[in-house]
Amino acid sequence: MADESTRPADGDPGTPSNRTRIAVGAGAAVVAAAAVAGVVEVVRNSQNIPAGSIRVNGATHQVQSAPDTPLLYVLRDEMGLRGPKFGCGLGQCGACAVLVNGREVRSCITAWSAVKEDVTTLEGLPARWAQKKGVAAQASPALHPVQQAWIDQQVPQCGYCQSGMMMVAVDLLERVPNPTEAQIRDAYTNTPPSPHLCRCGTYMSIVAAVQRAAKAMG
Amino acid sequence: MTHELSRRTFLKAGGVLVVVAAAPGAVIGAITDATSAAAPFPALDPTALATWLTIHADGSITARSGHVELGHGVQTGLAQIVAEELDVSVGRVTMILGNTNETPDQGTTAGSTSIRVAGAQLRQIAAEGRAALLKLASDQLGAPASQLTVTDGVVTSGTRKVTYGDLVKGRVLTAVAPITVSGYGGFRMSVTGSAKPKSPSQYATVGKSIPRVEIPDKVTAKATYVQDVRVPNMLHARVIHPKGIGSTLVSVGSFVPAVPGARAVTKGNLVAVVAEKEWDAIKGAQALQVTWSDWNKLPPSDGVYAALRKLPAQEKVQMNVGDANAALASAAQTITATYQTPFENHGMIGPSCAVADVRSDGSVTVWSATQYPQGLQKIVATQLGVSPQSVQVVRFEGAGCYGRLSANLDDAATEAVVLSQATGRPVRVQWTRADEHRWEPHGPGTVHDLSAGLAPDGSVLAWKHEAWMPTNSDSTMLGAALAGKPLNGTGTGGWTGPDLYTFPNNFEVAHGLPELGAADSPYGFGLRTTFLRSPGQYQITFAQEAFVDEIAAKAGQDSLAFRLQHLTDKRAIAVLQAAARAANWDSRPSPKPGASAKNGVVTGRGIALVLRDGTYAAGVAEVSVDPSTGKVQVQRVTVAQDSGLIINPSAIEHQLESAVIQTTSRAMMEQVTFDTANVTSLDWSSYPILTMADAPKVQTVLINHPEIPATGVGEPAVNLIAPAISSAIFDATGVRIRTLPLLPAAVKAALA
Repeated sequence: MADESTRPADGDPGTPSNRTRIAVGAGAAVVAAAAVAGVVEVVRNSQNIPAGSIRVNGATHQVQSAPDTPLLYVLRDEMGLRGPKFGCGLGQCGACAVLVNGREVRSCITAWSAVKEDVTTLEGLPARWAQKKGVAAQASPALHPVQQAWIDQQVPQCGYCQSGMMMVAVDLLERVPNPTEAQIRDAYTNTPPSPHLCRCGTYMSIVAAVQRAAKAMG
Repeated sequence: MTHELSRRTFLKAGGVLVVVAAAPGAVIGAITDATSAAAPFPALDPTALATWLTIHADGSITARSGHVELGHGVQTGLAQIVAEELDVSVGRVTMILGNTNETPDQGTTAGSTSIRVAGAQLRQIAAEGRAALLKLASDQLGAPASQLTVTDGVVTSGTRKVTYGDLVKGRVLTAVAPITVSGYGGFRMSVTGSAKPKSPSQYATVGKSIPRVEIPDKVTAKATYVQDVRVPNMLHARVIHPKGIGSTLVSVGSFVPAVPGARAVTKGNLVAVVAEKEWDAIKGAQALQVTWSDWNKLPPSDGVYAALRKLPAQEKVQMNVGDANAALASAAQTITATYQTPFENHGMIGPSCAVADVRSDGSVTVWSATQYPQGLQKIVATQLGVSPQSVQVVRFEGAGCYGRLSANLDDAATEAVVLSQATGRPVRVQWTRADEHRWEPHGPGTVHDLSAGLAPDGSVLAWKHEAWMPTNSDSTMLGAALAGKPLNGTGTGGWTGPDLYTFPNNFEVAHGLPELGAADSPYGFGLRTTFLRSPGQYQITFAQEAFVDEIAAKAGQDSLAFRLQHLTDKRAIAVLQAAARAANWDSRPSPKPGASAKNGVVTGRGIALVLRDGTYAAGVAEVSVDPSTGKVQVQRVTVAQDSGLIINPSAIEHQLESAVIQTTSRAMMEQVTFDTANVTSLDWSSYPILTMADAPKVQTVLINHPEIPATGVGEPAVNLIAPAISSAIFDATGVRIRTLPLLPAAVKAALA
């Protein structure tokens, strides 16, 4: 095709996110040790998720798409989820970010068949918070503290990037309960595979919201 | 004021009113029931109050506006205005925005008009609604309307009370009020009537930081963006755009490798792949073998500023006072400088997306994130050769677009229309990141020559500014143009922005240019350029405000004091002083004592002023510069703004934060690159934007003038950032950089 060289792929289906992922099944102590040692460990199924399925927001979903299909399209087109957004298909902006095993992953460049652990999207944040607090699912709060902080700080403008931004906040706050401004800026900028981009210019409101959420979660 | 009330069938012509409706949804039902094959979507009557306003039996109120939410908070701001005039709490008001079946045409949501223009119209409408309700209440309570008071929708006369809901319960009413609408749908549209809106001194809801109503849905994934729209039987499509801007289709071959489930659709030069599954459409678009003709008529981005000067120009004189050339010739000293700004992207984080359903019965529905639903309705009707009443545009929010979907209403929608007609099914077009970076109509690059002549005391005797600017208002629709039915045009550039300073001899002219390459393109457009947040004025203000700073430095004066000396407008003076005060402006000439382009990290500050569409803004930027790397860090930006009456302080503060951070990105980093065929900056690595690491702290000062009508808040501060940063770099280093963006390599080279 004549214009192929100037037409980047919409996404590379075969390449999982280059984010380091750490198995959680062996327990928190192992996670901590691995994290300290900086070990890159390939994720293996620890949740007994049936073949051909993914587990999203606590429920198992039988996938109908080809194995090379990026997770993003399974979440959006098969499951009707609206949290993760298509922004670039290149792992360059973060609009599609979801949590896999608690860590932020770009669903636009991660084939669903490479996902072996629980996926959390924006829709699943309240239940995730309930689980952290040991609250029964039916008593689940309407909002995760991160979502509440986003409302209280009036963070979104268009809001298109904000699902991904909230994913980073949850990822960060579950590991670093009281991040400094420098740590927050670093998490949104320097965590692979790319900075999280906001075009409306909400970065400083996000910093304030993450700090606000940290207080609420502490 | 007289209101004639009658029990007419709701929605009959000529009525103005206030409804009724026992059941929510009755309004929509009534309109839908009226559809016919000839006109599936009848035109709305803007002189009928019921078109704008519904009072429900439960006391809630629905108001409708043709303006749309862009994340700037207009849904909330308009609700505040309506609630204020109707004397209800803002929570009772629901705004319906941007659906051609339901919302009156108030023109495009652009140019800071949502509050200034659409808001003023709704204020009058709501005042008419209140007057109609008070007439009903007057009859019921047996007291003159002038003796009634209203608190949150409860009308009181002495000890007797009745609610708005009770007044309309079980009745279908129209109130005939003398509403006049002139210039319907245009920028000069006005709505006049007999009711007198409240005095700002009575305001209880306007002026409060009401939380934005659409935010909770945005943080819980309940909001519907256009990218979320799915309709039954819908196909996913990816469009394969031409290789060069003016390339035409040579051939469409097969899929290599094969992609079961994908099929090619071609109409003229519009080539697309459609599939049941989105991933198959994506893979198919990558696999389809398409050959385009070569087209190499674009002057490349390296050297584009010289090319701009050579384009055929239409001269548009902005200002001609005294004799600037003669005064320059006789001045004690003169300064000349050339400023240049690059082509820029709107850079929507979510690329263009639209869904269209062109049905066999002739009716059409388009789901779009356009800034102007009625404009898109008319364009799609023209594209298909049908009446506007055959076309419904349902507007949803998309990613922030900053003007990209204004004059250029929605390229993807015009593509979806072609593909739906060709396939007989609803089609969803989703552009790729490369499509958006390449084919969005960009912000135009510009060139500015400035000269000033100074008197011996340093005051300005003469000012001259020539600007070369390609069009700002491309309204070509890519899908229509590629499919062989070009619509609308490109226009030529012009001046944007008034003069604030008083100079005795002043000559300003815009050389209005066509689009680069347009003269040699089979499509009529070249490198498309259209409105980008504060279009034209952003570029003009950068050149002028930085040049004012140059003159002040040459005269050995403090940049703030120098501006004040040449200003007479009290509001301009007040915002400058407010910004300077908040930023602890250090009054002295630039550059700063100790300024250096050689030794270690240095700091500086710069100031700028703008008047845009009635709003005054002034800004101070504080930067640090590392001459060894050329890295400029914008540490803090302070903005003071006077936009007349303040509707929602919190929403304005967030708009200012947005303007500062987005424009810091534009000034510091952004430039579209292109070769002779097409744009070459196709993703976020070749067109990077500001990250959180480099976002400046933002400090805002709002000046409220309740006695002055509200003006726009999304655009003015945009204009301050580039000149304030460039002057701050000069303050820190003694070196003036006159070409954007202020990338480290360029800064380092300039300082060397």
